[in-house]
Amino acid sequence: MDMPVAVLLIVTAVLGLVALEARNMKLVQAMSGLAFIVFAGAMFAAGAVEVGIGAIAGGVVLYLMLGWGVKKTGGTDVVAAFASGTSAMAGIVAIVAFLVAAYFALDGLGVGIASSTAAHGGSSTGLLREGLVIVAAVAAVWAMLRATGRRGE
Amino acid sequence: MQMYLVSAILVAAGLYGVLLKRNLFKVLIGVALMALGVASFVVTSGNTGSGVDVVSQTVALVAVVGGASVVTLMLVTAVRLHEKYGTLDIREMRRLKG
Repeated sequence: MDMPVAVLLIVTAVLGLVALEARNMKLVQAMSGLAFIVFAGAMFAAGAVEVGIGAIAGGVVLYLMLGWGVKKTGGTDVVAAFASGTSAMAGIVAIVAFLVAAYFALDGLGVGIASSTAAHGGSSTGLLREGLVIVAAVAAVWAMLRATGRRGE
Repeated sequence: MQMYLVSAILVAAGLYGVLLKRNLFKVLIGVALMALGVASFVVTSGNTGSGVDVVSQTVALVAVVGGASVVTLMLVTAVRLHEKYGTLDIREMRRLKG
């Protein structure tokens, strides 16, 4: 089971990196949405159906909001593709240090930290709660848009 | 071990966006990628061989949906910042502050 899930997760990471590197913001939007969908596929393959459904819901909301944001701000990323200077070097060092620390921490951890009970599909209560979280987030977005729109009146 | 490392790579990809990108939208995409990495880590930790632990699934679901919701809210803030400063470049915003 591990190998297909690992491949799908790596594809998710690659799609995310493509989204981060693309200059065309429509492509950024598409790749971000696709990354969530592939991640959902990985979760389905792993047997975590509930997480997969949540990823699809989150991905759709993120895709639509990114589309709205891109429409408002322009279709091209005019910011330099790669930051330079000492802060960028510090960032790269931090990422490498994170990966090295993660490797050694996981090596010491071993592989078996799973719980004793397992179930396919999760519970519908969890999905309902996360649905409410999404509704609350959309309501907050609507409230923010209303509040900022009225400021000039 | 392999699955945990893949999760760490997903988090590292998000970290790359958060630390090295200057476009606010891409920083937020980095945050979303990190949330996916954390969720996959939790799902991996709850894998018993015959399925995934319910508690792990719930925690991972909170990570994914919560992460996406936070990023969505921050996107609106980013659009408002763009209206105010005329740019999504976080360094440029800092320079134009006040």
